[in-house]
Amino acid sequence: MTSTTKSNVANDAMSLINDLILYQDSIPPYKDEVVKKCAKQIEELYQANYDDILAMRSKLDSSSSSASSIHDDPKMQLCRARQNCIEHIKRLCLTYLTVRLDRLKSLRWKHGGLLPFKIKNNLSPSETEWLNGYSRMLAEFQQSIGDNGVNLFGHIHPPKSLHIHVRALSDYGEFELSDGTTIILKKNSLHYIPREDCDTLLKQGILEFANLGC
Amino acid sequence: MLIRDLHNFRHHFYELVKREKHTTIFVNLDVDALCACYILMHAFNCDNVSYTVNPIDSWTSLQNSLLEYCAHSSYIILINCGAYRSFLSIDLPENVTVFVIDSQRPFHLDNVFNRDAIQLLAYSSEIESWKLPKVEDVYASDTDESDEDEEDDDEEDPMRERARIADRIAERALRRQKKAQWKRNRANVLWEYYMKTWYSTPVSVMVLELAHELNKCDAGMMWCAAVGLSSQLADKLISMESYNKVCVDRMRPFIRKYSPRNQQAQCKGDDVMKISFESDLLLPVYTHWTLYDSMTNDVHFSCQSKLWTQKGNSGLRHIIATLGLTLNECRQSYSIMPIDRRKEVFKILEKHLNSNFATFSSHFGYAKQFNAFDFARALSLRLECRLDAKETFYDRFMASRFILDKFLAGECAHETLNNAIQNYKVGLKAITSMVFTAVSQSHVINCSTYFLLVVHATSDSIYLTSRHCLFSFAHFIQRAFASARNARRMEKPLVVAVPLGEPDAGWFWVTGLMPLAEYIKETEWKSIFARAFEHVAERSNIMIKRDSFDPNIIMVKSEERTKFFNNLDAILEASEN
Repeated sequence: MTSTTKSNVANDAMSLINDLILYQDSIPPYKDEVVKKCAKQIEELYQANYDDILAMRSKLDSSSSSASSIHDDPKMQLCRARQNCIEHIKRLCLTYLTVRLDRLKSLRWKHGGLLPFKIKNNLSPSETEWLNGYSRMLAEFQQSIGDNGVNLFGHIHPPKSLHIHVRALSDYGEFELSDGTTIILKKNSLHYIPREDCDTLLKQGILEFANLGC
Repeated sequence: MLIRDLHNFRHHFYELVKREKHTTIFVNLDVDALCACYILMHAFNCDNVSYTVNPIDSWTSLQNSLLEYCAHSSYIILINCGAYRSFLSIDLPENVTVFVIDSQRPFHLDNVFNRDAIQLLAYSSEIESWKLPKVEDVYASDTDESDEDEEDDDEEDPMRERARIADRIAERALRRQKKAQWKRNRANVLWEYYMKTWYSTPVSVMVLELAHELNKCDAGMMWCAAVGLSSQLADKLISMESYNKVCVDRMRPFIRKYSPRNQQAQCKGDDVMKISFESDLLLPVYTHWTLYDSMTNDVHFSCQSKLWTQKGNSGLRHIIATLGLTLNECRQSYSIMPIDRRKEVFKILEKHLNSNFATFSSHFGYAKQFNAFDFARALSLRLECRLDAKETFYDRFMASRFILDKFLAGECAHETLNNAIQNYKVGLKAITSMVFTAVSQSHVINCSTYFLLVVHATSDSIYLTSRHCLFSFAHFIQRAFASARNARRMEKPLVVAVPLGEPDAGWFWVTGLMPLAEYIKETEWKSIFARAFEHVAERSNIMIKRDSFDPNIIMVKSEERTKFFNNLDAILEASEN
């Protein structure tokens, strides 16, 4: 165990990173056991270091050699190497976790709250908890803006205005907006309604853009 | 119910509507309403209120649309329509409130005293002058209907019984007498109140002040209000004195803000709209035309030189020569006259016309200055005139809005505006030629109490479907007719009847003007014709259509028109005595 090279020691951690590289932009299943294994490895390495340093310290106390000799002790090199390993593994694990969270955040923005089932399955429980907390914070923030709250998920870039002027080309009748109010679309009437609600009707040709300056 | 004064306009009208999910706005097809709608839409856009705009031109379409829309919106706004007639006939659902911003007076009493459903916006200072009758005088409260059945005491001796019955009969007779008297009083009060109709502060100025209160006002909005106000003068709805009064009282703070006198306060920039309020000539669109054309189509110069006679032309040339202007100058386009000569000509004409007229004009950077009065004229023709049969009134509304939009965006020389001005010149020439034919061929008939003019159906009479053209025509004819220096001609009112083409063939559009003497003398132009027409229709059972929002314009069937005019004669005679 103690004579393995750095790359061999960190193999498990590297496998996590390889996983991430393989599943670009998406979130692979959470390798709980591997992460636990890495954590255990760090513990083992740390323990080995601890034992060695304790041994060296006691030797120092008993013998009369100078303190600088401790640094020349080959065991010290090993300790340093082990410390590097620990940090490397730690870095890899942390990268794994952070990248997963980042991807999760961007997926949340892309899908607007409803993540696909596969991805939900791939999350660890703590990640799910993090996601819920994040969504809750977003909702609170949105609610606090303006009178009724603003839906930030509608546009990536800030739009010129939230509503647009449209003209009804035919007698469509009643139409329900996203906030529940119904409006009547009669032929040749001008409306000023939220952008998102008009998209379908604009495509169908029932509404058309009214070219107004203000 | 009345909402009085600006503070309440804001809190009881705007703030309520702002919080509402969706509002419906109904707009009348006239320039004042268009400008007011523009300012209101601007305010709504700033506040992200979603709304629907519906232009309408008649009572029947308003009633139908109102019923449809009030199922879904709880707030409805009416601009320049609806104050004159009662809304009780329309069955509005419980939670719907209708806000009415109208310049037409008087307001119907049902709307004023109605508790919550109808809210009319008006200024307190003005309300005093209406002499509103008291509620008790007009509406019978329920407690007046006394319960007929009174308790019967246990039967005592017949003497007392008979006395009590006699008392009860006497009481009932007294009550009936009181009620009859109350009814007579009520009829008098209503007669007095509804007798005269007139136009008050333009709605665009009211909405501008509201926008200013909300801090959503800028030079463009002020220009809209200036156009709205000028359109009232151009449509001959108000007198010059009323116009000046509104300019001085209402528009002064805005003038100070958007066209300050000293140079330093003015912001420089090519795309900033600068508005100025200066004295100007009352010649129609003279800056876009030649002086000669403008004078030949102007009421004052035509009447002075009697242009409809054979000597008319030479008369006009004589006037021009006396003024010191050369004919060449007058016949060339005004805009190519050199500036210093233009200033001199301006001074000469101003002194000659002596009309004390000042108006708003705006310009962007170094572009040409545009007069609000001319703008209002061009816009009203575009909006009201049914020249192209395929255009619906919605198209006209959007086209006029587009012109206003482009102008405020800085494109003063946009082709739609130029087209509108060219069309206006054509229209004005048509109106002038109709006036001249009518006067020279003596189409004006003298009935005993009024003068009647039945316009012959020509290709030009299509212009008279627009209210602006109709009233300009009527006023022009009145002046021309009275310029024969026959004093009696100034004393009698004038009634004008115009035959309509499709889709209202077989109907005549009838409107009436008060005597010319009154227009010259009075500062507030109040007309009795709306009431007179109603009376005639009631008394003689003639079916008339009172569909237009202006109560002075009605439609009469051509078969019934002689009967109508005879009865009108009788009514006017009766009212004079």
